[in-house]
Amino acid sequence: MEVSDEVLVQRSREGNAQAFKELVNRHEGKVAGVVQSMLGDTQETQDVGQEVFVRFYQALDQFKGQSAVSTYLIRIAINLSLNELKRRKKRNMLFAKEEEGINTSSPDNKNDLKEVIVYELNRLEPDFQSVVTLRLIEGYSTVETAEILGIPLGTVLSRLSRAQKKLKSVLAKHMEL
Amino acid sequence: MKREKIEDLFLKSLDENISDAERKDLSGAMEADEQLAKDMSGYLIMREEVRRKIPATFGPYFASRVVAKIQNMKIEIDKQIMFFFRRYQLAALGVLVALLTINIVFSDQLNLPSVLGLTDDNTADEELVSFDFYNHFNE
Repeated sequence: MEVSDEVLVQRSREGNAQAFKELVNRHEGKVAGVVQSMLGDTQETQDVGQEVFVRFYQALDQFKGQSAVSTYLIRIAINLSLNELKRRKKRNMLFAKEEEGINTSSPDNKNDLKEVIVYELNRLEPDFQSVVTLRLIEGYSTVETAEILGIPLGTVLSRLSRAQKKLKSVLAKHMEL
Repeated sequence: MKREKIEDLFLKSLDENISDAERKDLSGAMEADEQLAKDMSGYLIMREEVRRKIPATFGPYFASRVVAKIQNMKIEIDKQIMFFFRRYQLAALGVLVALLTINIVFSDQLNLPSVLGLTDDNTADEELVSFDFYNHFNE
């Protein structure tokens, strides 16, 4: 029988590294999905991914289990990704040029729908991007998305609607949508 | 119904339940306008394209790397604590020497307990000045 997250958290609090490793293995996929969707596949993605679990480890004593471990981790992942996006923006403003990477550079193949969508997704405002990431890319329900982001359901729905309209209008230029 | 409202209704239907009346309005509008139906299907294509199909990962041995990072951080914190105390160890030694010197200068006898300030104050009762508080008070 699989050990529950709560038991693993308790063991991790007691200093059991193996238990914490199991928690990381169990939730790596979800965290990686969110961070990669937000930041693209860059070196910072790895760093942010590690930082998510380090922050979680440091906050183990404060974790009271009111929300699921995965919800808590995704919340940390979104916040750290948003911070990283802000840092990128500042760097871009400072150097007045676009950085390397999938997020800010133009897609090489404008006929590759996936590539164009990822490019356009990363041009959305961060608040919209986090909603789109959770709901459309990672497949969380609108209720779960609202809980993770700590915003009302109505806000999730309106951001989702506006983001999709924006995306579709941009994508319409690239393909026959 | 206006196109914008149909679009909103269509998007709403993708994320939450809509009423039977709304569903009827939507399908009616789509059937009546082929271009509108095609436009709306664009949203479905877009949503299908962005949805994750392959599980994401941070690469091999990610959990081991995280645990190693946490353990290295602990060592780093220990080092910082050591460094913090090392900065003040000379000052602490100086204070200790000064206190010992004061003890030596002011002690009556030169033995280790008195230098370290460990002597008991065992003055005998006879050596104490007697004071009759009751008589003194009634004078």
